[in-house]
Amino acid sequence: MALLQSATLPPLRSICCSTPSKHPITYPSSISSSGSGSGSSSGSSSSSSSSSSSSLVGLVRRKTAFAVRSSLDTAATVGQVTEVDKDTFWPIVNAAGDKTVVLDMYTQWCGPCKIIAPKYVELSQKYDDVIFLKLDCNQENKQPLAKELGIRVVPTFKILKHDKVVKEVTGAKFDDLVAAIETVRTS
Amino acid sequence: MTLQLQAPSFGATISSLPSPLTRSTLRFVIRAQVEPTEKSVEIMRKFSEQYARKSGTYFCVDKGVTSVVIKGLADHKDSLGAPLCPCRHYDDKPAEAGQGFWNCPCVPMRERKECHCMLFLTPENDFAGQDQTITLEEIRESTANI
Repeated sequence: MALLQSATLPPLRSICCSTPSKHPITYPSSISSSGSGSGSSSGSSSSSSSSSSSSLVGLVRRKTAFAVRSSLDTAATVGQVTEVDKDTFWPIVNAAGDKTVVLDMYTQWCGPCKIIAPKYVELSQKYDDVIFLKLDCNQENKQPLAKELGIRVVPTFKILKHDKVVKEVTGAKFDDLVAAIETVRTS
Repeated sequence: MTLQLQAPSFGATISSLPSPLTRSTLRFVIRAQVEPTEKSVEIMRKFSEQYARKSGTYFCVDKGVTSVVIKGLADHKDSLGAPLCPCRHYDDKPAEAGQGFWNCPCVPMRERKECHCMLFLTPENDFAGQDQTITLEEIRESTANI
């Protein structure tokens, strides 16, 4: 069973961290870039962040935190992983145009999902011409999409281009995932 | 105020009665990631230790993985009555739990020592550690941020 390239596993606690966007002008309405499989402990806020379909309209500084007001559009932000649900996934895919879209289908209590999560985030930062999404397949507003796309093994990665699933990687196989992304993005 | 737990999403809805001042109904939807009960976690922890010894397999070098899977098994035990594999997706979970193929230890594990959850790892697996034990405290600590 081929899993991860590196035998060095990161401590689980270090996985959950947000990463700054490479493109500071464009932010989702709330940021969700913690690794896939971490589940983003703030359940609904990460669902709402999948309105991934948003762009920055105004930036207001309050004390030491930034509140971001946004309007909706259908473009997802590259450079980070965006949580999606059954309502936001296809609009993002449709808006992607020629860009490759990768979807990490995970569940909250899947161990291998937690291992590959930080590496998935790294990939999103490395490939700024690819859109990286994630879907918690057990949440109620996401199960229909999981069923529509088809999944048995968790995690499963679906790679889409031009609105269609063109490749799939089952299991936490990082090397296979990278190879699949490279194949699709250069095709 | 009423609290409703909706399975299998584990979302919770809290609604409050209309305030006499505002005369409006406030509804808050809280989608919480539900934790399995400690009793089930302990049951699955003991099972995992026992089965690792029996099968000659070892826990992952990263005990966080082991912890997450044990909690996943416990979660399914709570909701379905059986420890369905947490690393698979099912169209009908109750039916699968009743059928038994994917109840831990699943058939692939029993027959070929294949555990794609990385809970039980054969010694030659790169990710196998040297432990066949894990404490409740280890499980709590490594899943604290999930």
